Amino acid sequence: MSSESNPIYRITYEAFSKFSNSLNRCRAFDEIEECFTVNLKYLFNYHVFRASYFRNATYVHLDSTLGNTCIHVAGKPGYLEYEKLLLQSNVPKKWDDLGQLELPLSFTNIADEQTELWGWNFVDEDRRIVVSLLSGNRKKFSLRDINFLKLVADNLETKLLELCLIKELDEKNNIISRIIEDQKEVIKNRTLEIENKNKTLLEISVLNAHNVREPLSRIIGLVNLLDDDEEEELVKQVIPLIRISSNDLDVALKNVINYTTKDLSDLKA
Amino acid sequence: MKKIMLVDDVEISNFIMKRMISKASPATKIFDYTYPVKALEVLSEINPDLIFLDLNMPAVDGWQFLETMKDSTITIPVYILTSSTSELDLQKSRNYNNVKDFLIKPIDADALKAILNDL
Repeated sequence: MSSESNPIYRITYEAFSKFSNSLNRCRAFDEIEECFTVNLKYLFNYHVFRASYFRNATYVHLDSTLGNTCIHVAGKPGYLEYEKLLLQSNVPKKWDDLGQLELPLSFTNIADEQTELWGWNFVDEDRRIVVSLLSGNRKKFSLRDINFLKLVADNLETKLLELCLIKELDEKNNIISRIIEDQKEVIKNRTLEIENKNKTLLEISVLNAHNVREPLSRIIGLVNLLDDDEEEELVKQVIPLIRISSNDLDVALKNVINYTTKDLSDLKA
Repeated sequence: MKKIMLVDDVEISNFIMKRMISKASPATKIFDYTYPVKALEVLSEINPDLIFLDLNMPAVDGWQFLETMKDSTITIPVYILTSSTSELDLQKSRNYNNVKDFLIKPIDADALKAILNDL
């Protein structure tokens, strides 16, 4: 009887279909945790299932035991010692003697049972996933189960890639948003600066229009009077007025120069 | 006899205008004021044929002078006579119906004669 026609295989395949659908709907890491906790136990036996995924600067470590799944996402790798060996060798491995592997408590608190640790390293261009499974006498894992484990690994890797891409996109969007906000602030400050400069220019223009031209127009008017009429009495009257107006012009010019010089000094500061 | 009012806070400016007007039209009677408030007080009483009005004056400036005339429905023709070359002032002056022209100091003798002849 082929494995496809085996009723257990069909049931497992249906369970995998349910798992796959559930995983496909996940939009966050905690939803993946829930999916694994609910569905993984129907696909194969295990005491601990672990998957470690890496993309760019993101490291995702999933640990699933019966009744609990935990995903840890970090910017630094959190590989266990045996995973480092798998990453180096690139070939599947099975350990019967777990004493030398420095395993965490979840792997070692299975009492009165002979346990086995299975490990695979699935490599694909810029991403890789290391999958491992702890089985035992009461939770036997066999070579026949590897097909489903590979399917689980493949589905999980696709989903983790999707979530990592969304995370990267969010981070880049945040950077773009910050740049836009910074630019808005720069534009706001520059606009204010230009408004202040325009205000100063307008004030200087008013100073020139009123304060400087006023005594100047008087001087021209007085000189014009002398052009039209050179009688001595008028000359005696007009000369002191020209002097007064010249002094007024001098004061007005000094005020404008002081004002503009102060503005230039402020700009330099 | 024609009556002209000069309103300018600078006495020298009024002196120049008085000389020029007297030369162009000796018969014209001139009332000159360096305090716009005082000029407004006697405006109705004197009832001049026209006013030469400066803009940049302390206390009451030329615009306030024009506003007061407008509020009092006084329609005596006004020639703004200012040292300001500001386009903004020129445009603002067009808001007043009784302002006949915007003249920049010093006024040209021929232009003054033309104004006086039109009285």
